[in-house]
Amino acid sequence: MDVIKIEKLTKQYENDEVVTPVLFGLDFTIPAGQFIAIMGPSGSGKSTLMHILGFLDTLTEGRYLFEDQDVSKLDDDVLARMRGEKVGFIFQAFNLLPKTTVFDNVMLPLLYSDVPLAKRRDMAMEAIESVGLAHRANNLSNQLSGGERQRVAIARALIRKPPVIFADEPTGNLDSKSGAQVMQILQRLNIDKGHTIVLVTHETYTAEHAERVLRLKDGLIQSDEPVKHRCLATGELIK
Amino acid sequence: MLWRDLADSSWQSLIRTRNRSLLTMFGIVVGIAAVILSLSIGEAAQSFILSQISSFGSDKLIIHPGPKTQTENPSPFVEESLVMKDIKRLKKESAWMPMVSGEMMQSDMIVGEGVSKNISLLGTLPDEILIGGYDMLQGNFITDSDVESHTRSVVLGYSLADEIFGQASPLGQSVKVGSNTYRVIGVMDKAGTQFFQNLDELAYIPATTMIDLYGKKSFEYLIAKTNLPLDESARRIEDIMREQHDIDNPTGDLAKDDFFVMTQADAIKTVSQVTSVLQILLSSIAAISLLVGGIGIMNIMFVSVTERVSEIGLRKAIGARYKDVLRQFLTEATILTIVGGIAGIILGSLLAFIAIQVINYYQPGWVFTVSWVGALLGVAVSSIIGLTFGYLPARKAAKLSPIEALRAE
Repeated sequence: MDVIKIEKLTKQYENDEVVTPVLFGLDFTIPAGQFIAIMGPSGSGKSTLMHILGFLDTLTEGRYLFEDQDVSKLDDDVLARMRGEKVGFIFQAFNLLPKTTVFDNVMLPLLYSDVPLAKRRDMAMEAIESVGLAHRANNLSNQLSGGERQRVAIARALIRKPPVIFADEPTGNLDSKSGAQVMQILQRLNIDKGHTIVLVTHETYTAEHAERVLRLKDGLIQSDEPVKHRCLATGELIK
Repeated sequence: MLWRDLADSSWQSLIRTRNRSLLTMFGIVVGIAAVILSLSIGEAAQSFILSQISSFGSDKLIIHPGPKTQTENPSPFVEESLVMKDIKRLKKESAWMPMVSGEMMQSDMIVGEGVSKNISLLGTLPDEILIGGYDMLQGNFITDSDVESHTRSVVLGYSLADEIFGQASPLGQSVKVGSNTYRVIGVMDKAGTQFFQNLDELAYIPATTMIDLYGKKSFEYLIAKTNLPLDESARRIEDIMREQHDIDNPTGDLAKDDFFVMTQADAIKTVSQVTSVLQILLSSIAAISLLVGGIGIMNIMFVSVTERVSEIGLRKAIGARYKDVLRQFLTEATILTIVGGIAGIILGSLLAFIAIQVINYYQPGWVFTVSWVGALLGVAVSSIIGLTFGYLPARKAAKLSPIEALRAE
């Protein structure tokens, strides 16, 4: 089953009567459970594509089916609910709330859900454990290292167990060791838990953790092929 | 989004930026405190004034010189129309008006036993003490024969006697007022402040003596006690006075008279007008300070929205709807104003309490009460301010597009 299906997707920004086309009629599908990397130089439209796929932005023309549902027909409140339930985001800059505990940061998405209060702590703890930060649960976000912060952000993206996780340059602000840890976690989420993962990156090495690489250039698909020598991060979580 | 989550999340946001929250709240605290302070003092002033007027009693009439002008206010040009002859005439109506007195005032220096002091000297008549219902501590009040023979007798107020003579008995002693020597014939018991005058600091002399020594021609006003209804008494007094003063006024046009009769109810009406103007004045000043506090909140909220753009973007990315963000910012503003409002009520009441203690020191008889109207108004106004001044920034935050917000790193 395809979780994401894009047909002739076009996006252009209109600003003061100046029309800037960004994406020109893209067509592709992402099957459920796939780990896909979207690559391209800056300005290629890869971030815009991710924002559209993650319901953060709207498309100008074409169709976007998420789990066979036509997203372009949904109103803002439904889109907000889908952002909460169907997808999780991981950003380059982590975007944690400052001076707030790991626990509260991870629980944040539940504020906008119907999950009963009683279940929330367990869900948060499970998510925190899955990124190996149980011992840091009560620390404030500013007391953590960059790698730890990104793992908190992953736990936050995971807490509602969304089918798809979007990661926008997740290793961009990290040293190579922390970056490797983050990629290992993402790969496990994909392989062990079956999450579909859409990774946006410009680093070839990072992209090789995925099964498939979609390259964009100037708003068009330049290539779309499986990764030949996939980099598998096996073994224990790198400490 | 659950209300509990909303309150929790807003509270945590305020705690994260506690310095800014406190400063914002300070504006509201000062605004509300100003409202409470001015309303409390206004209410205390009003009840003080009314209690002073009520102490005058509901069976008494005051006759003022000069016509009653059209605006129902006493004429500023005091006519010297109320003379001893009028009192003698009114005294003849003792069947329904058992007591009649008059008052004339003069400031002068009293000297006795080496103590000298500026005082108010009251030229009056024997019925004064009966009308006022005051008691004598020692000796007698001014008598009819004192009035007849223009004696140089003086009756001292309680504190005045105490200041000059201390423990010694003042009866029969001499004091000098101005250049004249008087014999003390009596000391009044404590009477306190009545009708805005501290009676314990006064000295009383016969009205006739004051006319002789100070060249007075008339009384400042006459007071009468009646056992008829006040309206009926007032009408009878008007008839008698017109006859006395040869005023031809069959239609009862008050503007033609050279006197006017006032009752307690009239006095209350006049004073209420003055005090409500006072209340309006104080309230408008307070309202301006509230407005300034509100604008402060709006400013801070706008800054807060700008500072937290990426947080708003994140919240939207994890499922917050337009109304979730709007409610969060409104709740933050409301918490700030309500907490600030309560602190303001406490601070304002405290300041009002202190202010009234200070006023009481100079003019006894003021009573502190918490202005409940003010407190209620304060809380209501502060929450309305929170919602209105918080709304624009909150809407701005809620309307941010999630990607633009996320990009604003």
